[in-house]
Amino acid sequence: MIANTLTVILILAGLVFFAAGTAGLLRFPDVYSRLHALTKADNVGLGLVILGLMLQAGGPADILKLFLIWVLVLAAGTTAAHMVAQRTWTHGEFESDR
Amino acid sequence: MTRVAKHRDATSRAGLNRARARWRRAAWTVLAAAVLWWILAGLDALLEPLALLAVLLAGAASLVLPSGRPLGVRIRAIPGLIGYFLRASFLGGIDIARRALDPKLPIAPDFIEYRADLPHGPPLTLFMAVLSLLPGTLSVRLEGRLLTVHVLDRHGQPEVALRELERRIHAAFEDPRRRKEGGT
Repeated sequence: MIANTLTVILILAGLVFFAAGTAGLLRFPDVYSRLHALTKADNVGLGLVILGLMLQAGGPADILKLFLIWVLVLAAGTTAAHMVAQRTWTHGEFESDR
Repeated sequence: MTRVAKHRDATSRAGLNRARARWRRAAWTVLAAAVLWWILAGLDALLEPLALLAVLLAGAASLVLPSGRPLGVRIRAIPGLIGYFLRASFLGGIDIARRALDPKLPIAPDFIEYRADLPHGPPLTLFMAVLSLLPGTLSVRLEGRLLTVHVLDRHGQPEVALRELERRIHAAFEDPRRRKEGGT
């Protein structure tokens, strides 16, 4: 019961961060600022969702699997953000092509 | 003991150390592969012959392949680094969520340059990866050791956070430049 309540709270909190990250993606003025919003907000959002799901996990293997997912998404997210930023630096903003 | 014999003794001891390090690495690889298989497929699947074969082959591969440069991680500094990362990246998420949802959109983006004193390789890569998750900083470009960092709020003090992160990563890795000069 307590675990279920905590799960709901943590996942809802995580979704707030996902929504905020998307809001930043839409509202921020340039590529770099949008990357800030995506990487940082999604990292915390996914972290909270994963914490909530860990409370429902069937055993240590499931908990570790969820943790592994978070770590891999984190590594992929920050690497992708850096690559997009670097490409924007060398080639200019995509929107200025129009 | 003649000088030649002493020399030969020293080289054989170094070779023995290297062989021992190689076997230790293989044992760690076997353990990591087994744990990974267990996490992804469960305990029953790990005890299948094919899984055991794959795990043992992973260990054998690490014996056969060249070992590369040792990473030189200081285990004692790792928990502090992880704790700092969790705290700082959580604050980074809160900070960006607040700015993105604020009707006034309080950002003042700018670029700064930061000269990192970390050795190339894993320490510098980790520094660039983690700083993108800290509040308000994003790594854009690396030239030599000169980093171009995008900051979301130029009125803040991003250098302070970057220096703190750099200090912690410095503490977590042995610096090969310094080891060569005759440290530990």
